[in-house]
Amino acid sequence: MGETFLEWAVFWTLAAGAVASALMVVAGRSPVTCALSLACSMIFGAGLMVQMRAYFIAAIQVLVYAGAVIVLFLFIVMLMDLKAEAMRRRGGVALLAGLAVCGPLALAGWRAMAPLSGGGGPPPAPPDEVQHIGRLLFTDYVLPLEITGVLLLVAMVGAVLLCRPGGAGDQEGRP
Amino acid sequence: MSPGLIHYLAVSGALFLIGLAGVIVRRNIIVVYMCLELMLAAGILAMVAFSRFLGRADGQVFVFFIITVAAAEVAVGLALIVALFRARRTTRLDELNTLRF
Amino acid sequence: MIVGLSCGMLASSGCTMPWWQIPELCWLLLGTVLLLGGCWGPETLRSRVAGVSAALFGLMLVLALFFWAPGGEAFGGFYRWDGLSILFKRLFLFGGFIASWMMLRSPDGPVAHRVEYVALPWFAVVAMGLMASAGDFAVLFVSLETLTITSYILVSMERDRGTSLEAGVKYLVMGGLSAAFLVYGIALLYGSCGTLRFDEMAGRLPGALAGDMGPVVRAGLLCVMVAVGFKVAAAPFQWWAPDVYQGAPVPITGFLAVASKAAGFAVLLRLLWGPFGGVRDTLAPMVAWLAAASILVGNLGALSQRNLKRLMGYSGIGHAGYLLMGVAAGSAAGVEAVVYYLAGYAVAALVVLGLLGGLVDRLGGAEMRHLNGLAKREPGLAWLMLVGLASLAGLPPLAGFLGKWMVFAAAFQAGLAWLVIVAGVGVVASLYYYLAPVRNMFFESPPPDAPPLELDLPFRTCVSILMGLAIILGIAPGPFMATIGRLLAGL
Repeated sequence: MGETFLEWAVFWTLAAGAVASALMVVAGRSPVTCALSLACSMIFGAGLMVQMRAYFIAAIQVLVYAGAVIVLFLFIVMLMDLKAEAMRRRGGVALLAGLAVCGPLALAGWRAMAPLSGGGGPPPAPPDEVQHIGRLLFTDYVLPLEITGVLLLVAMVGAVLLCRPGGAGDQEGRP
Repeated sequence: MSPGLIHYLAVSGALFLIGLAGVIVRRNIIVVYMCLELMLAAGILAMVAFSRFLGRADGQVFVFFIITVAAAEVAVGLALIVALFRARRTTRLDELNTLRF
Repeated sequence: MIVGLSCGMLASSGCTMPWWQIPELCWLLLGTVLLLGGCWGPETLRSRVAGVSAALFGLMLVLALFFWAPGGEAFGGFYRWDGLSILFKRLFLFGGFIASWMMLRSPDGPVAHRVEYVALPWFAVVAMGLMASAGDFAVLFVSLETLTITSYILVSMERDRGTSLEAGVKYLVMGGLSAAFLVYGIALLYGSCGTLRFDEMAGRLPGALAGDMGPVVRAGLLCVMVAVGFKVAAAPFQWWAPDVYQGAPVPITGFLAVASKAAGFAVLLRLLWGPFGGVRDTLAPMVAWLAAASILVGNLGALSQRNLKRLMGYSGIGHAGYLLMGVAAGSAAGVEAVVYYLAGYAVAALVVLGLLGGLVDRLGGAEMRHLNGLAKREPGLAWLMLVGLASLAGLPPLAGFLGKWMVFAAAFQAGLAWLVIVAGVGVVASLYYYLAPVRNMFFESPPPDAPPLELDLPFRTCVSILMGLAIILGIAPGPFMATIGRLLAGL
């Protein structure tokens, strides 16, 4: 009983944290706030994954997503020295549009998930799950893994190409 | 009874919708891009939940690919945004209106 | 390095088709060699990298047309080598070939000498080929994102034109949304079927749809269809297309209009005749609505356009609508019509965009008024343009006419008469806007200080051959349709 209660308490804390920080991403005025909230949301999400005993993915979510990607966002925000965003003139219209799209979707999602009700944690993770994932990655899933190599090559070329100074449109690079 | 599949899915669905709302509402490209990442993270959470509750590892392998792709996409996307910022001095989507007739 | 890595590891996975026979591997190798050779190779190669690329694309296309036979799979079913993928790979190669040929032109353009500009289409074609051959959602997702990222870069490559970057950012937002929906949809489908493999999912999806997980399956299908809708620029997910088509460099516009659209349809057909095969009847009405919306939005939006590239963007949405009609029909005839239509559209769109790409510097822009009096300055080119536009509008005896006819017939046979009526409205509207540039070319006088239009012979030949193809496909489609029928026999 006590253990179950603890599990629920942890779940609700993590879930509320993830959703609240996600709301902060949308509502935050300054891009720095948004980026930090996004990192928080990712970390709470990783916490949920730990609770589901998906330790490997939780770890790479924190390392790659919260660690690398969000830091990249922060770097860019700092680099551009973005000021807090002024309130939009037509903020109400956008808010209505957002509600109009997301409200029905939320309702439909709620209906869709209703029959799945019921609790009970996931089956226990096998002790060698990470090994299993690794083996799958290099046997069955070797083709997508190779394509990922192409993807990274293209992304590298593209990032260098787009940011290399010297283009005529680059005002800073001009003599 | 501990939290079940539906509870994790509900969190993931909420994150997805919040991200979608952000994409629609926000006008700063970088923030819009963060909201897109939020949607992807929601997808990752759902995938992991299904994978764990089905007791299959292939879902987690797929998540591995999602994270890799997202990281690469962010690198290129931010490079693009920086290039645009250098050329135009703006990061607001509603100021990108040269391409109208 | 990547190729070397793949050689070592792939050898161990059992396959019915040897992994080194996969054409994408060869294309990847060529792309990498072009990229490296263009950066550090001898000067003779560096100055001719676009020509080398076009020649290699041509060679690959010839190999693809004459030496490929379907059958088999590789990587334990993750890579499918069937008729559908072969047909689409030929289309992708064709798109890449014409795009790199167009890059040969405008040697004084700011990006023409960028080796990445020439090499990246190879990576895009690799990604498209893998998408068309995907046998698992992991392959589909990763290759689709590779294509998307390559497209961002290609679209925004002309950094010194601000519109190019702007188009890139809009494409970025669209690509991100599409990816998010795709991931979520795949997650929901995975959760309800317990597999990511296409062949296993095909068996389990109808049962899952009928069972407890029905709503989850529905939501998953919806999300995946939204993602594909973004990719093929179907309304209401079309808003990015006109901006991107207008902002991108012209050869890239051609490449996106032809190859990227074809890749979207390859995925759609692969899904609907693969994992979603059992639930196709559930999805058909949705595809039909997407088709109707695209036809109306694309064709009516194009009416007021004055920029030819933007016009092609809007009309591309309309063409996506006609193509979706063939998909919605859900019959073998519908799929054959879609492939034929794509080929016909590719040829005609490349005639128009090719001419535009070759002339845009001399004309001073891609607005319609820049075409004023083209018939007096260069009658031959004006007639070529006329044929391309007429084929896009669907006038007989060109390929566009026959394609529309076949698609409409397939939709009518499937009981979608209302959709055919909507499409009829679209065709009538399209006649107006496709003939508007013709008026500019033939009935307006050229600007007084117009410089002479120099267009080199290889370029003229290329566009003329494309025009010839548009006519031949329209007059004598027999052999072409026979090939399509043979390759799609097992679908």
